[in-house]
Amino acid sequence: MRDPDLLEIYFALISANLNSTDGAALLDRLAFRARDMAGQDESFDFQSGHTGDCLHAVADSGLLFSIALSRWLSRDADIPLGKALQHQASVARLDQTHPQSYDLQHVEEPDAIVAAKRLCALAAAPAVSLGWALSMARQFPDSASTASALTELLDYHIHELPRSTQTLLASSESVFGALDASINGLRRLQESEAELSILPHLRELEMTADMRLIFSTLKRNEHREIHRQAEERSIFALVTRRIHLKYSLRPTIEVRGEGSSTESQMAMVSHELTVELPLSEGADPMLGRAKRNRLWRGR
Amino acid sequence: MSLQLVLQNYLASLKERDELDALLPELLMAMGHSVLSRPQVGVAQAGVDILSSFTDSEGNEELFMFIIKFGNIGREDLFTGPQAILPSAREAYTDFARHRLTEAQRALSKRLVIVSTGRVKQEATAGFAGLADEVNQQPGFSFKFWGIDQLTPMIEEYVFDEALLLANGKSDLRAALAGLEDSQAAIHRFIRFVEACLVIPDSDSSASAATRRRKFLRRCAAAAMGHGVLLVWGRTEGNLKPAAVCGEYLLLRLWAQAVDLGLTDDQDFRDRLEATMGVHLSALLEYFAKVLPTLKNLRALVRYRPNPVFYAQLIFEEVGRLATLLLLLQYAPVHQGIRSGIRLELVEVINANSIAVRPLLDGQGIDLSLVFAALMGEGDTASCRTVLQGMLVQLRNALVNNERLPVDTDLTEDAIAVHFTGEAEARAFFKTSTLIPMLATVSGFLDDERAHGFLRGLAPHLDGVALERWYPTADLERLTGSTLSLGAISASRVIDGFQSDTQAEVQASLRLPAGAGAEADFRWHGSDWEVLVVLSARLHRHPLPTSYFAETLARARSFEPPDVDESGQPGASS
Repeated sequence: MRDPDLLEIYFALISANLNSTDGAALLDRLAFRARDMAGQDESFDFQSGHTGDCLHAVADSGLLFSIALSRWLSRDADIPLGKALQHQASVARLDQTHPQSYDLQHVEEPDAIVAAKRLCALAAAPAVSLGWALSMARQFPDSASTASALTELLDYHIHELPRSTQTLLASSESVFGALDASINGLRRLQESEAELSILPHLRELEMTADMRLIFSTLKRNEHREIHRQAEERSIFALVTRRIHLKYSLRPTIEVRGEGSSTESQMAMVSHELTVELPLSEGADPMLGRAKRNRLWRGR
Repeated sequence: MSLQLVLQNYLASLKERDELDALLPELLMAMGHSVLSRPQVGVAQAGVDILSSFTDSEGNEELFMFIIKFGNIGREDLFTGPQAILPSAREAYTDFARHRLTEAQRALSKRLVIVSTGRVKQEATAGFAGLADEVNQQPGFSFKFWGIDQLTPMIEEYVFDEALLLANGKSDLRAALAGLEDSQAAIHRFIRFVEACLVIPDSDSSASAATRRRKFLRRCAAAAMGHGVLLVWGRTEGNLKPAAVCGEYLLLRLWAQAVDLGLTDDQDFRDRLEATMGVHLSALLEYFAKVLPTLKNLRALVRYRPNPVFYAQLIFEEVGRLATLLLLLQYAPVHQGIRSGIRLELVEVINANSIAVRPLLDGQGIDLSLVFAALMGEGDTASCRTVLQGMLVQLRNALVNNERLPVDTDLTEDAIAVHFTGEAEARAFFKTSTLIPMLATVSGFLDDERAHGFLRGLAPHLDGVALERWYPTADLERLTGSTLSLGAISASRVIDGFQSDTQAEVQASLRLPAGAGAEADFRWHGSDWEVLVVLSARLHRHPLPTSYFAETLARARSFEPPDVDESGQPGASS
């Protein structure tokens, strides 16, 4: 939705030299306006129009993001906006292989803890949720409540997202490498990995032929649905011509003009992104849901 | 040891002609012998049934002259009759050695081996020693005896495969062994093998009762030997599951045929069944020693089953199998420490897999009923109550939220529609429940008024759901391998809610509906073989009869109280 007030907020948000006080006031204006618009329209989409632009600007700013996320995820009225901001940040950092560092010096500790737990509950990208948790440990090193929350948050990451968490903690780009929480977490994951690696491969537990067939159908449907939705939302797809080939990875494309044709060879490159689903999604989704509900309520 | 017992039973069941004398050359070739002559019917063999040569690793060649004798060896077998051993041995070291060997062979050292599917009787030991001395005194000759105790370890080591089978089912056993990579295919072919082994020829109908009995025992021995082969090959092929499943089928199938023939009380039959049970227990213990560490590692399990429905199927199958093992051990003469170890493993697997208290299929309640029975049998009512409590909480959540209810069709596709894709309407496959009546029965036997009250509180959410409490007819014992359907051996009662307290629930659970078999109608009643009902429930996927809980609790009282502590109780998952 196009709204002059939001446009003004957007320009203010992307202006340089914004301090925390002014930034917080702008975020309050944005939240107020978004609440107002959502109140008028039940189907209001926080990701679209100038609201989406504003959220993009907030997600891009280290200072504004931490203030906005901690406030919005801990205030009931602003939770939809907080969720939309979390989504922006998660999409931006979905394939990031190191935990994102956040500046939490302008954030209240209780709000930071609530936001940290709710990031997990919302299944944020691991680089965001783990980065927030470790940033909290760095910002409030002597706090008992942060230490307690950190244990819970690290347990969640280690149990539910072991592969991603290990990659993030072991990353040479991580700025948290010297934190005890990071060192201990990585050690636990390496021990778990070692336990896993010594287990023999068991034919006894393999899927039956029927299961393999059903499973491959489910995966194919899932992939097709992902592609269908991606194509539906793709702006890039509106301005490009799409060609599907069965065999070649280096086709020659013939283009006929007036009386002549040209050919050009195009090499195709593959692009894929692997996202680790919480472990409970593959085993006991209800348990995963219960864990996330507990984290969401965990004030 | 059980494997050798099965093999001994099999060897003892072989006939000398066409069977033992056909098997021996196979054994010799597997041992590295060159077989120079084989038994021939109607041809004078000058005492020697088989001649072979063996060259050891240092290049020394030796001749082996075999005399085959069927069964145990008594005095008469040694000295009298046309087939007596002593005259055959003398003929071998005289006539055969002088006239039927080449000059080069005569120069080799020679062993005269008496092969028997039995043992030397006490009455014949002196005569036998004399025979050994006599042969040993002949220049170039030495004496050996391969009785059943010597043959079985050699056969186990060298020719334990489908070549041992000389008649029906050989190709099916071969196919089962060849398909060991795929558990389902191997199990399917092994069942065909068992059926081929146990087929009763039409000619048997006119045979005497003694002949029918003898032939039945032979069929039992052959099928049991095939199971032993499947276990041994499963080890080398890295798949123990077919043997673990097929043992259940075999035990039930042997019992079913014994029921048909009226031989369930026959001691020889029970000895064979005992040996098969021994092999089955070994297979299960070996199986779980291999898979248990993985069953307690969620990350590893999800790699095998990357979908919650398939993962749940694996967990319930394995938990049910482990509970079955514990129940079988409760009837076996094993140290309580082994049972306690298995009980703790069962509890740990449940704790490591939260899904164990949230069955996705109604039929997975069968596996849970086995868990309850196994823990009750160990006197571990505390763990039973914890598992029950966990299940009831999950059930309440599912009923109140009207989502992810146990699927009554027990079909994977329906489970996926309800529990994974969410395509099915909430109660589309929740019209019948055998799980919920089972929970009521268990709460009754545990005398757990709290759990029973909790269950009664769920009644308003069960409108339109048929609560089916299952009872078997006496034909249950004949189900395996028959054309009977599960429906044909079932006599259910649709219960109208729950009783007012646990005692009343127990009474109601034990009260038989019309058509159900009374305990005394079952041949296994009153014997340790009542445990076969547990295997039947797990394998054929029918509920555990309510009366079995009563028997289990009674049996538990005969054991020492278990050493149950807090760490040994399920908790984390529930």
